[in-house]
Amino acid sequence: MSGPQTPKDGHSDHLPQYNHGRLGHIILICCIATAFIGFIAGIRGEQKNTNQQHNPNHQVTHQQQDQYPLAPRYEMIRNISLVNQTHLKNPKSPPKNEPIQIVVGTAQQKSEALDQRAELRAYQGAPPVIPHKIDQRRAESCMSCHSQGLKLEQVIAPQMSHEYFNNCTQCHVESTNFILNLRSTAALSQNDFTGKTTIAESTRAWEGAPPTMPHATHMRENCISCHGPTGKSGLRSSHPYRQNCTQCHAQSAVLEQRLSHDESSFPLRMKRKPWELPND
Amino acid sequence: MSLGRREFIKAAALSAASASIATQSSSLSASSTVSLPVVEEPPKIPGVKWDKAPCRFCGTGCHVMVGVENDKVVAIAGDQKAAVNKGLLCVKGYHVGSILYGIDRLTTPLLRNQKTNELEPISWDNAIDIAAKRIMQAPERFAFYGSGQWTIPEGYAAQKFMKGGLANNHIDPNARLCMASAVTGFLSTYGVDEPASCYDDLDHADVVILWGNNPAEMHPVLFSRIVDRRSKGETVKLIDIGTRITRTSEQSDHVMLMNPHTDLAIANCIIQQLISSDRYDKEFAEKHCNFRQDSDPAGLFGAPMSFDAYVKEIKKYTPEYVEKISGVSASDLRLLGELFADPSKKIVSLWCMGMNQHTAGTAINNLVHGVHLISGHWGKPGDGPQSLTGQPSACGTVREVGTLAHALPGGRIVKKKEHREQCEKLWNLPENRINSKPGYHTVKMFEQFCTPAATGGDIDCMFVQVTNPGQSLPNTHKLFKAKSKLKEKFLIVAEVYPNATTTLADLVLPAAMWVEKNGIFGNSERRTQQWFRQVNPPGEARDDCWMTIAIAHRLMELGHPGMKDRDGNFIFRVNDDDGNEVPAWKWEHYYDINVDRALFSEYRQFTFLKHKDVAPYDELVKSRGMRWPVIKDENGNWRETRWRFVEGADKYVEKGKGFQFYHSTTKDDKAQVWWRPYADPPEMPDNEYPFWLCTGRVLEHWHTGTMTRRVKQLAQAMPHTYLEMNASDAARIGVGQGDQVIVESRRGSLKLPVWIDGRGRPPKGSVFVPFFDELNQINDVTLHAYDPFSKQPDYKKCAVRILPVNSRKEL
Repeated sequence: MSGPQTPKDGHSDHLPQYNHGRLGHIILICCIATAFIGFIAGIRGEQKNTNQQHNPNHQVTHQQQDQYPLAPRYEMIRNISLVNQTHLKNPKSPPKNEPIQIVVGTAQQKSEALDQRAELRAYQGAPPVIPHKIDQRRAESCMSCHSQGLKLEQVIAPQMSHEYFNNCTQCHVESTNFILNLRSTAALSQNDFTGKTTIAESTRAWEGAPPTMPHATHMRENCISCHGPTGKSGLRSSHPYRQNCTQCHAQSAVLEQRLSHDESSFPLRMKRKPWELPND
Repeated sequence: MSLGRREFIKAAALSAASASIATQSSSLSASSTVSLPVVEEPPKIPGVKWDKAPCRFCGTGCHVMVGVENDKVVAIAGDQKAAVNKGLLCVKGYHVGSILYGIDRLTTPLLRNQKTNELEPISWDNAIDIAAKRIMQAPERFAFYGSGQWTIPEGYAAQKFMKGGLANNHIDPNARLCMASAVTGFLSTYGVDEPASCYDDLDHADVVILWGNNPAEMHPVLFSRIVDRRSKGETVKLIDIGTRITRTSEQSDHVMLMNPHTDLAIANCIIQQLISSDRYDKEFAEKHCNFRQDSDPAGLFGAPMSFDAYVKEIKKYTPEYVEKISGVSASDLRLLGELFADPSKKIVSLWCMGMNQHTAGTAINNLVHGVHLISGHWGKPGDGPQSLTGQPSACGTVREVGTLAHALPGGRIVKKKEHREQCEKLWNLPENRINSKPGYHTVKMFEQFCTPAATGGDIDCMFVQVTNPGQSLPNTHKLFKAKSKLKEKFLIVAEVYPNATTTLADLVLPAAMWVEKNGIFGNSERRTQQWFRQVNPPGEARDDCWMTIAIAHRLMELGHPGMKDRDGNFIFRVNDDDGNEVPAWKWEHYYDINVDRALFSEYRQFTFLKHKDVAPYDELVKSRGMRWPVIKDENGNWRETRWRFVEGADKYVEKGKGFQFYHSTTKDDKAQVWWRPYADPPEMPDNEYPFWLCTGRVLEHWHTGTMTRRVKQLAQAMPHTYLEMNASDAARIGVGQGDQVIVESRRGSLKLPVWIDGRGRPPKGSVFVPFFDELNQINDVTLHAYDPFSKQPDYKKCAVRILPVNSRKEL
């Protein structure tokens, strides 16, 4: 044989057929190539990290979108570079019978996780927007990933936090128009609504006491969605084997709307002068 | 909240007691004794305060909890105490708080400089003065264009200002474009407007028929209320009769694609089958129905018809005959016939714009009521027709307050002397103040406004509140944009953001919106819903209701006699607890008293005539809305009504009657089943313009997008309008996904990207375009032909051609 014919020829079991000079070249080329790929991969990794800066008002950009596994259109397959999916090659999905790892998140991980959540929500409690293409018409395609939840390396498809509703798109819309790539011809969506990313603080009666819930559980009845094994680091429970969360973690009667604020919150609403700020 | 409980009770009592309207007539003085519930002060959540409000968008009438901190809305939650939505919202509702905070809110009055043609800031005093003087020049040539998004007090104030003050009936709302045909349908069928049924039916129905209705996108919370029953193991069958495949179709058991306008033939075909197989509900039909046909000349209430004559006419609407007209197969039509012949099935018909924006809108409304009446599928839980509205208070403010060119509050009309006299008495006005001639309906009003005075355009000045006619009128070149050339016309617009209407406005008044003001809405199921102001409006934005009162007061100062009642008092006089007049026309005093409560208490007196008794204001404060008629029971509790005209559910039905249509047009407690034949619509595709064009909404945007396009999450999901087209049509004319095409009618044209197999899928020969996008206005293209009775235009069908712009994009 005269030279490498197929990529397989680079494998060590073919080595004896090459003289040392050519082998040296090939090893050198391989090293350079590996270094180059490593460098590019490194840059990509960094880019991703910069993209995930924790700005609550950060928009999900198209670049970010590219990191999710999009199926190519058939007519594109000829030319497509599969670079988008490189990080998903041989993903390590947790083996079914492996005992659940108990991970205690750090404060920083928690803050990062909360910021990541905020990117897809107008305020705490808003339905998240969808950071990927969707089937315009059916709920079944949503359910294929979000019914059980899915975690492939960095890609998380959270388990639904609420009971099954038939009409997913009633509340969840795409973060941008993925199909026609439509953009508004004017910056009309500029808006300085500032949603609260934290509606209430979680409190502990003493060091070591179970924290109270800092959010409503309506539409978030399934704690596993965020706090279970497919949740983000920092939000995951340190004790996922416990099944009855409300046994220890108290809800807020006000956030759960069991206690009405109606009458007491705005006692001056009829006498307040327009130029005055509400009493506090 | 640092206020103690005692201070709170004091403040609440003070404010509740302070509203009453001064008048000589004792029947008018609003009750000043009120018992507010004593509420324990709830635990404190730092910062965020929560209060109820109905959602600002569609006619469903969901309640939201509004989270407020530092005078800003910071969060929204579905209201779990609300019977309508039970804690769930749609994506618009979850983001409703953002609508207040678009960066370009209008915050100061603006006047157009005639030389530079630019809008320039002026003071409020100046703005009110200019508006009043302009009206004073020729009060009879002034028109007020309002909205189904007006709160009830806003609409009531405008109504009283026009008909009681100016003796001018040129007041009409955008709801004319939205549900006028539903009104004429109810009136001519039952003799009184508004749905007799309620949303509870959706929880009980075995079958829901969607007549040209796409609730998955337009009334998502109601749609979920139906389809989520399936998750609970219940069976509910959906039948989608429409002109394109939608998200609703995807969840439907049967999809019957019909040719546009042929719903008339389909409804007749159902009745024909029931009669020919002798399986209609004879007892119900005999006891509770009369038959009716068009009179000559045509009138809303028509002429009597014998059952035999009716049977003879409807005979030809066999499934085979109607298959040819409608494109729906004879077997599907038989399926519908069999369904209505089965008394054991509970059937709800739902409809909204598909049947209302229809040049035979009254007729198709009559027919769907007729199908339910003659089959006896009427007035039982889960069994009956339910008409939906698109705006939050189309029912409350337009239909009940009667802010239409021909109407007076509480189901009265200007033509009837008796009704005018009742209003004059309740308003304490001199006799014969109210004009007996109906004013201009919407299309006519804008036609007159956009016609030069020299050639008969007799509306010179118009005040537009809470709506965007510059984008929502049909055929906007003719009905709105023509104004730009007419220097003698003066357009006053109260708005929250710059939009298509303010571009031609001469005077712009910045308005407070939603929870920046007190308000009351009335939803599609007769539910009256109250909320309080929770944040201050930005800059100098002020309440629409205040604007009307301030202009009226300025007119009184200028000497307009109509602004005074019989005793020489200002027609909007509001008294405090001691009987002293509160100067509510001065903004700094407007919130000294609850003007909403005062106006609503006055308005409430009007609602008894047609048995639409709304609940007292203070009851509404306590509830998440109440469905009228709201009647006090023996124990002193206020009870709402779920099913009207049904014994046991409706207190006004006499014992032993079973059903009683007590406002029957034939005075015999019977409803009317109408003979309404199919006839072609005014414009149909031809060789020159070969496609049907249908327009409508999408999930993310509400109406003309003035609010929702400024909400980041909604605008990013749906930034731009588009044209839906059938894949085979696209292939035939050589356009692909995303290619630009020109859609052109005899009236205008527009360039849009094509979306194939996207959100909706029209059949061959038909295209669909959403109308939310102010930068690409499809209403430049639509037709302004309207229903003869309701005067509601048809946005759902006209003829267009589609021209490719570019060759296919590089792949």
